[in-house]
Amino acid sequence: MKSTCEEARNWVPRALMSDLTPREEQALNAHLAECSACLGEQQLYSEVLSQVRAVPDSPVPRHFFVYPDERSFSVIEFLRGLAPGWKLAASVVVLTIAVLGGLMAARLQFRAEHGVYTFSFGRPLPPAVPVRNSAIEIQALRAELTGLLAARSNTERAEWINALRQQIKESNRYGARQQQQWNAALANLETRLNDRIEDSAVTLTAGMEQSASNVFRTLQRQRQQDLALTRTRLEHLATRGELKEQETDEILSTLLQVARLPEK
Amino acid sequence: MENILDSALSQTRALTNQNAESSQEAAWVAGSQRGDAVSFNRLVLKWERPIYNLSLRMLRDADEAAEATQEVFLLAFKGIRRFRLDAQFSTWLYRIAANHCTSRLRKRPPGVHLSLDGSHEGTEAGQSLAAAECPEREFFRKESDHKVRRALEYLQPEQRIVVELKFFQEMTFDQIALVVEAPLSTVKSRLYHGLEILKIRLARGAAR
Repeated sequence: MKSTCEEARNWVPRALMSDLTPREEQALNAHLAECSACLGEQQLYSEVLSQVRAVPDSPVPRHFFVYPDERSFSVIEFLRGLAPGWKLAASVVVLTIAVLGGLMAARLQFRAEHGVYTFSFGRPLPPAVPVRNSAIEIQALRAELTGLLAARSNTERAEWINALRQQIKESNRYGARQQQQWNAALANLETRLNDRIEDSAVTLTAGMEQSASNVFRTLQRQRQQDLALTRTRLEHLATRGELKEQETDEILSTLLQVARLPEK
Repeated sequence: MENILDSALSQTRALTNQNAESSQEAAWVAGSQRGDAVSFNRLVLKWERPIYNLSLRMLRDADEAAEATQEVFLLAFKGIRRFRLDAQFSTWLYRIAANHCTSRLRKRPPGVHLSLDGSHEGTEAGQSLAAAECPEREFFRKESDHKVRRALEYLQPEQRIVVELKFFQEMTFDQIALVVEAPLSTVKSRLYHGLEILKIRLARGAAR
């Protein structure tokens, strides 16, 4: 296998480190036999290695002993030295704390804005209040807000007035309807009362007339009965011849006066 | 025949010693895991020199390397209970050292280059004797060391640690992959790129 100088130069340091395959070593040796430049490269590498390997070690300036005090307490080493049961208990405690800490950290929310620090645990953070530093912005905002408020107030007032007018209209209509109804009802009542009065008057008149005629008939009947009785008595007296003529005449005149009462 | 026997015997002895060292180290590690500082300091005695030199070549400053080495052993002492006994202690220790030195390098401000000029001079008797006997050789040796250390500065931390572990700690590619916790192909790529940079830097240095 023929190799190029580039390949040979890559192989030279590897050959010195015994890092070539037998085939590569054979190819290198064959190339070095023919190429003086690569051979010079190999010699240069050999010299470098000789120089490097010739550098002696320096003696230690002192001993580097360690002392038991230098080994400070380590929590991890202490845990490693525990019995398996205690290791398990410690692991459970650490895991529980880690889980609880993680849960707490997950629920904890924090916001830092414009020098205001807001913490929240379990609840969403309140919305951030934007802070404006400019006085001009504040004035403009104030004017805008005032205008908006005035416009809104006017709108609301107009709406309120319209609503009120509507209600008044409605109530007027309702009142008028009611009034009509009342009027109709009153008229109806008046008519019925008049009718009733008339009926009552008619009935009363008829009753009075009836009563008067009954009285007259009764009186007339009594008068006739009295006359009949008186006649009977007079006849009886006349027959018996006890009454005086004057008395008889007076009695007759009285009876006649009574009989002259007008008939109704 | 005798040579073969001698060779077999020496290999057996080496293996036995290695096994003995491994079991001894395992005992020290087990003792350290029980909280025995004396056992751990025996491990420190064994590994402080390679760890210190690794830190020194990575950080290029003796004081910082000493500080880093002390921190590495302290980290190892604190974490020894996490070490699995079926793994290799050296791999684990080198991993701590490599990560610590790499993080220290990354924390450095860019453009800071600390120099080891004169700071790596040893006080071992052999070196002093060699210097006394052949000052010229010693001079060239120091010069070469200085050039290599300067060239190492141009490597990225990831490349530097791989070069350190391969050439100075004499680890295999697989062991280095375990230490730096990277795939084998990545380790090889970093090493060969690092070698390329060293070659260029040392060649430039020689040309001057």
